[in-house]
Amino acid sequence: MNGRGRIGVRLTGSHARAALITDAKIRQAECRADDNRELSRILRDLARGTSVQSITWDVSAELDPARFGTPVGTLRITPRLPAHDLGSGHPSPLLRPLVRWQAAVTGGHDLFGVQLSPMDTEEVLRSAASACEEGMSTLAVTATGAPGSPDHELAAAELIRTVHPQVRISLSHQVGGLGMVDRGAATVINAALLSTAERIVERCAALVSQFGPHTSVWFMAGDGGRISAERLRMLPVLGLSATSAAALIGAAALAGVDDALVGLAGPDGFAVGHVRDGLPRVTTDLPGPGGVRMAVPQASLTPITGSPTDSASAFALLAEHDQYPGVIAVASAAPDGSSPHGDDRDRHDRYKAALERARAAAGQLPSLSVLVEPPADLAAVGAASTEPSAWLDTVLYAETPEELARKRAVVEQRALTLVAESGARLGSEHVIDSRALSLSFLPSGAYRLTVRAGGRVEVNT
Amino acid sequence: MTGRFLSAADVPALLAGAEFFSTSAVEEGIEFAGVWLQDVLTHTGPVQLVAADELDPDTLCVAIGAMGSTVTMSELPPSGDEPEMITRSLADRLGSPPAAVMPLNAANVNALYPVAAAAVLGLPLIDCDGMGRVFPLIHQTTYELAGMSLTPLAIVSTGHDLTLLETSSTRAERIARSMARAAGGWLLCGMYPGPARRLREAAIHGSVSRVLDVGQVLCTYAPNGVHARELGDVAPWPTPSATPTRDPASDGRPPGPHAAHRLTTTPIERLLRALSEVTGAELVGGGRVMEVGPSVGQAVYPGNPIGTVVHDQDSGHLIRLEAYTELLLALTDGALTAAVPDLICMLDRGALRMTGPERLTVGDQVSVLRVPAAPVWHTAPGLALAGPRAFGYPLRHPCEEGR
Repeated sequence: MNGRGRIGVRLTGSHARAALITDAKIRQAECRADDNRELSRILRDLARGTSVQSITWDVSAELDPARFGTPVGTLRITPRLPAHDLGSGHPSPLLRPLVRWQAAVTGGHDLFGVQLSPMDTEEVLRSAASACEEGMSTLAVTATGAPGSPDHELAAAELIRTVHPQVRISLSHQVGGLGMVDRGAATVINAALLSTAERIVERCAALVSQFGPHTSVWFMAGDGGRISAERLRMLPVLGLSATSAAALIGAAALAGVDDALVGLAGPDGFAVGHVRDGLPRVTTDLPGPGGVRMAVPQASLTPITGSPTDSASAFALLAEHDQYPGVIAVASAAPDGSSPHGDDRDRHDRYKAALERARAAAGQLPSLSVLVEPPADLAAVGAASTEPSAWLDTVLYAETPEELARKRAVVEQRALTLVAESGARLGSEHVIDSRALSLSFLPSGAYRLTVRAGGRVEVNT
Repeated sequence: MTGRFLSAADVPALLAGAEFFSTSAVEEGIEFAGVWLQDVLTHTGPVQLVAADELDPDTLCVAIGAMGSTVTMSELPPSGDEPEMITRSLADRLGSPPAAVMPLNAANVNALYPVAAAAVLGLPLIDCDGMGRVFPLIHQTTYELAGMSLTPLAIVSTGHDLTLLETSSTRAERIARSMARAAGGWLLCGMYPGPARRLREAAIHGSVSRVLDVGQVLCTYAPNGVHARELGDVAPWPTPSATPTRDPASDGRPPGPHAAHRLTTTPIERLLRALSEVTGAELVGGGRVMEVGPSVGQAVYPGNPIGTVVHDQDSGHLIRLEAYTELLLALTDGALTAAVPDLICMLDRGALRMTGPERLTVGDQVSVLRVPAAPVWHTAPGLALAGPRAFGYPLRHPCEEGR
């Protein structure tokens, strides 16, 4: 054995791109994504001589809800039912075909956990029966104020499962995030992807199982952290948009820095993001698949397009004023083969254009900056390098600073627990960012609390 | 009649403009209100936008606006019949129903909810407002300055708790605010009922159109949210057409040490110029955010004070911004350069979108803008109601110097 390492695999839809990283080397392999036997073989070849600690999959391309989502029913729990159906629709062309049946019942809490209306349990049961009659096998349930109190969502789920045990249910408080429209959309997409996620998880877990019990299986999340197979199976929405996050992590890892301004160079321009403490900066207000905002965190990228010279100048200016080193990374690995043709030729040309753009920018950067020409798929390297993390976004009320500190500590502890559950080494869990923001136009004491925590796995690569 | 109609297609511009005029809208996000309004307008059809002087002078008008936290609004969407409850309540009290709707303030969600109210009620929307931005209290309006009465104030929660308040403006604000907290965080209000003739002097005219114009500028330069597309064989990429070529770090200031890198006319310069043309905005300065954190302020308004320091690398100036939900003061090297009631806002140079202290992280690049308030706000009564001293700062507004 040549030591221990980690493997990252990005499923692109057509191809599987894998990278092995150890203390000493990085190796890559690639095959068609739909060929299980071949994928199994290249993973074995990649791991030869190395004790593989984990295999982390970026499956976001396989979780495209427009292609792989199945229609679901939605149940909304609100204090008042929409008048004349006003406001009950979502304008997204993605969501419309995914929502085949919908109903609303009264109930719900405010964000501070106060019940606004008792839940109409009889109507929940009537709605569930109607959904089943319409052939719905999956329901997305979203209650007003669920982040403050999930009681009505849990009660509705229990009622439905008691009478219709075959129905699968996604609950919005499990998806997380503030805002009923965004969280509701995320819950619909999550429910629509449950079957697909199950299939993906089983496949990936089976491929990893050949390495024995000491190799664990993980999945990239859109926030740049990694989640367990069980968590992806239940919350596939967390696996969306993971490629951007993985590429940022991969760039920083190959540059050997934990904090950086990263420019991912492509043929058409740069995508610029930030990495702090090994994790990409994320926001919850970016549009996700189909332009739908989902209230789940994803890496924040700003595009810089234009000619190589102009975009390089623009990135150089950003790097000049940033407190952390600038990292320019070519966002795809060099294609194999000396005489490219067809698709390979196209890929070769794109790689060449991206490389030229990256080198043009690197030539203008301050001395501490790094140019990364990755020896493997950048997102696969990022997937292999990713560390456990957690993100919590909630609202609380505290009348005194002491009460705020106490409640904040509880939320932070919950985030640290999630990090530990994602395989962090005992004692490595730490809070990366914890913000208590006063809510606008409410009396002092109402806060929105966002907490991000991270940790390190056993082997430092 | 102007002949202008607002339809679902106008909502993206309305949203972007509503964010420009409100820092808190940027920070907490108001897209949920846009999704809701689009659905409402799809059901009801377009809303007619009219100037106040196009209405019969005796037309009974009512200002519509929400009070409370936008975060709680995002969690508690309206059911859609709140405007009917408000107008019914006011009609019972006044003897006739309102025949036109105007915004309390055309900014933040209150640029959108009055449109929805007009749509649901089948009434015209008057192209005016009473703030020209967001102030924290519902009586900090030009309607109030002109002597219109805030009350009778009809308020309704999303749980359909309905109240009609008849008291002074200050007490009505205070009572309604405490009700908002108990009702889940926000209320929809109908207030300042009065004939259209009163609006000639009392309103800021053209406010809704201005929000739309600003929004269209912002939508042109920064399509709502930049998202990396993910393709099978290519790493995530912005499309060349998604955003124009940009140089996010230049503001048209004198060239710095790396001037050779800069393009002659950058998108941010063009955006700033376009915003200036539409709003009269001036650049206070811009650079890297050095500090964001709690500040010192009196707890007389909802929320907590936040301070932000921006280092203008080219000029070397330090710009300190004081916020109390909205940005209130800008001090350059300690000297007051912009103050409430003028609008102070920040533009993220990288994303070309509006931003605010709570969204910012140290290291971000921003431009700080000052948009002059409506002239009535610069009068002595205007400054007394919404100038720096009204927010607890013992400062004279820059326009008072030399008076």
